[in-house]
Amino acid sequence: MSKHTSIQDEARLKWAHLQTRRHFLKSFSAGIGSMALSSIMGPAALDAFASGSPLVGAGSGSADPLLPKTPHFPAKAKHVIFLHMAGAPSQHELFDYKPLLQRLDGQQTPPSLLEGKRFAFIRGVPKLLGPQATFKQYGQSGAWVSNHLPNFSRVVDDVTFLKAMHTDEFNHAPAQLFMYTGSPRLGRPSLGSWALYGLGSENQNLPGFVVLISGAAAPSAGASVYGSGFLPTVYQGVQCRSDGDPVLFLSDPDGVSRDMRQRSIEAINEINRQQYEETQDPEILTRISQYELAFRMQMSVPEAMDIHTEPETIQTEYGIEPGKVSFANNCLLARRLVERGVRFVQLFHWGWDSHGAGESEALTHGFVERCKETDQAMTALLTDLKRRGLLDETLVIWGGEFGRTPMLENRTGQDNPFVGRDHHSDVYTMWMAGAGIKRGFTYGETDEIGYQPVSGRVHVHDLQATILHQLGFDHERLTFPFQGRDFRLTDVGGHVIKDILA
Amino acid sequence: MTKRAALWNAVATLAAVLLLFLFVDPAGRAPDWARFMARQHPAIVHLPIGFLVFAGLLAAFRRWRKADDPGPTEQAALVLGGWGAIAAAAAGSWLIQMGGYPTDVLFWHRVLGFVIPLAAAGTLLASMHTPVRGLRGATWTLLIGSLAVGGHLGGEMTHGKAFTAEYAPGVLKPLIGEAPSLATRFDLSRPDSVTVFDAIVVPILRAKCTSCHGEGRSKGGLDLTTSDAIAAHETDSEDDPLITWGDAEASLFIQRVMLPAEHRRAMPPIPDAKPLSHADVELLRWWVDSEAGFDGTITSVEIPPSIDRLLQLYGMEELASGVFALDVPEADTSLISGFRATGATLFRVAADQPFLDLACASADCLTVPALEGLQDQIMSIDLSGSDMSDESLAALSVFPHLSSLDLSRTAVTGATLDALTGHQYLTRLNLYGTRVADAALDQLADFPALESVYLWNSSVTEEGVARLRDALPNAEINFGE
Repeated sequence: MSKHTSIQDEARLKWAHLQTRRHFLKSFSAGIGSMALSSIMGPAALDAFASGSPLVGAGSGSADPLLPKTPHFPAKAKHVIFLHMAGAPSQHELFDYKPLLQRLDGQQTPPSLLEGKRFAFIRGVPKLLGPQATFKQYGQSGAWVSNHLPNFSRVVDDVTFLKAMHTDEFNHAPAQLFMYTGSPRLGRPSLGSWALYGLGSENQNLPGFVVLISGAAAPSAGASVYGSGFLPTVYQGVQCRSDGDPVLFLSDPDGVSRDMRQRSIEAINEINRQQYEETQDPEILTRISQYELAFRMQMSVPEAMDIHTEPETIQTEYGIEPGKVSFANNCLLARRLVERGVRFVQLFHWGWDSHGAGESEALTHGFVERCKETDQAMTALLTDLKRRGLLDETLVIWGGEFGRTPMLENRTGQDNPFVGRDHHSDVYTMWMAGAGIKRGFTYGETDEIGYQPVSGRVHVHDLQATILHQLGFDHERLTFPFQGRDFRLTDVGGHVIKDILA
Repeated sequence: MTKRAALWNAVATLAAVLLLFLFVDPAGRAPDWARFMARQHPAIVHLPIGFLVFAGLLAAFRRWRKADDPGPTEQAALVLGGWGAIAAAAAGSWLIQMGGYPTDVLFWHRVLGFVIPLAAAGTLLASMHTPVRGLRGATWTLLIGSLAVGGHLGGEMTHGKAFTAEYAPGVLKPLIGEAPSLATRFDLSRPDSVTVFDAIVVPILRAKCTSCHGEGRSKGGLDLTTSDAIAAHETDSEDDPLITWGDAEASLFIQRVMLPAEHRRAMPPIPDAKPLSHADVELLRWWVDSEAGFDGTITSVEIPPSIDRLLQLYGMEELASGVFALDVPEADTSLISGFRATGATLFRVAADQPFLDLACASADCLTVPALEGLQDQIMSIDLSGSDMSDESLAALSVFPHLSSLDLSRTAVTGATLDALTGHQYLTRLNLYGTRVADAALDQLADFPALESVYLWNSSVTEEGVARLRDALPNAEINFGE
């Protein structure tokens, strides 16, 4: 990566875009951001990236941007499965057990704890809310887990808990963007895109970055949390479905044979190649490789995505729900995809925003449902990866975009039968497992009511630096030139959390 | 100018230089007006440099025009340059008294500072009194040479060696010398075998402390040259001990170097000042806090992130283990692309490693001729779900550095596992979903490096697994239970 695309090159490319009528029109119909910004990266930059090693790519002039590439140092993680609990689950009901908070339940929060603090919804002086769960210690590591995760409590010795995570944002969409792109605003590439840009994909017949969404809604920040930002769009996450057509519009329409589809794609790509010769717009290469990938995917995706070919015992273990979209189905899919060499599998499960304003977001109702939906499947995922030897090389990450307050949020007034908590960015719990992460370990500690960190704080940028480190990258060197400067996932921050590395 | 005037000029110059040399003691203390002048040294020096270079240019021009004697302008430039150099030398001598410059460079800079006015006067004298070209040339060479070298040394002291050498063209590099790299300051190349004291503390003490607290000249009765002398030192009763292991703040040694430079008890004291850098202080504090003592190796003590960052900057090597500790040559690129054309995936594990990962859908790939030149580099082979069989297992014996082998979901029974004996680096063996039975497990006891073995969904029994666990107590045997 010693070579940089200079800002002159970038300007030349932009100028070329404006010379093309199609680009011009497209930029008005589809939004300027999505296409123009992402097209700087071309074979030149790819070659520059590859120049550290002559082995990268197949050696052809217009290297396929998805071919496996060489990291900075030997990677512990070949794959990542990120289980994102969208809406931000409460650490007080899952992992961060505080007996004192139980004793202080219902008391007014002392002003010293509220001074200078701002919350998303809480106004005035809130009451403290004791944990709406019972806790026990499990495993040799003695990790505290609540009664809501009976299955997961069996595998605590395989994970590292990060008890003092913190983020800069306290609203869902910016916090999710921050978690995945390192910036709370739109436009940056996501974690999975960086992984794919850095490492390429092992399986040329499947997308290298797959997104699986369950729960009643998609993540609030929308597709940008798995978008490619200013990286070539070939690196963006591909959303797949566990029910129906795995990838929308992938099947051939009635009356179009596979042979005819092949010939038409060849013809289109030939035209695209000519266009590339004229404009040198690297985004055309992306388009060519996407057409080719889509054609191969027509064969490979249905096979990979068919969880019903799994043995009964496995299906039961995960608790899959045939014919439905569920977190369990997605967990099983994630394992199948990783087994087939998919680099990054991103799961989102919506519904953890437990404000207590209604039954579905009550800690005693909706929250418990979410736990039931996820507990068995995520435990099965860890166990299944482990016995197949895949956990050695697969990094599994669980968590939300921020945490929740130890205080009760009572938006609707005194008579609210439901309890909930507000957004809290200062401290929350995540866990990581596999791929060189310590087992049965807890890093970081919070105060007696789980409100502020005491030690072992981990910023979102630190987490991102650590994930990239396990993938074999120095997060300060995995960069992409854009608008005249080198960008990276961790912006100008981030330290690898060496204490959690085995 | 007359010949006599040139002679008087030389005599006066000599007298002035002698005066400066004898009466401005480098270790003395200048009055404030002299200190003020001293601070102007970097400005004053440029005046004589200008005059003398100008005189040199005139002389060169004169030689080119075959004129023999210097004209009045050249003479005036030499006189003014010479006396300007004396003014600069005076300011410089007072500046030396204020301290803080590296002694080795300073010595030569001071010598040349005195040589330059003498050489200027000598050059004038020679060009007026002797017709001998060689002698005239010699005085000019001495003058311009001293000017160039002396000026360079001054720049080096002001801006540091790295500043002057940074953009030097290749031919000049040997003359100027390379800028010292951060990494050469401490020897951290084998952090598991060098002690914190020897590798980090001693270099700091030598550079900054032992000129006063040494064997010969142990100011305050403190000798910092050996561990014994440091350990034996006793401080005054009202002071903390010299070193309190585990508590830097309660150690007099650390307290004194952390005091502000103006403080009466601050170390090193200002007249000798070669102040400790922040990094020096941090490293010394770490040495005391970590209780490394005189024998603790770098890797045996806890390294907090800030210190780790520092040590990385100073070039601490990450300790390699397993195959990564081996010196294996780079793989032949053409062999790799040749092999890849057969459809198997073969990729380098990292930009800084020669090793390769191989994944094949069929056992046939192991017999591709191109692989022969790559045997030393291949460290991981993934044959999961392939048509691998017991007969093909022998083909794996040719990869001496194999450390991860995935045979999962194949028809392998393990009967021929002895083909792999001799793979001393094999740490990971995946046999899940195979027909491997208990009999094969006994052969695995011959792989002492094994760290993880996967046996879920195979034909082994609990008894067989228990036996293997006894044989390989450090390995993790996953039986899927």
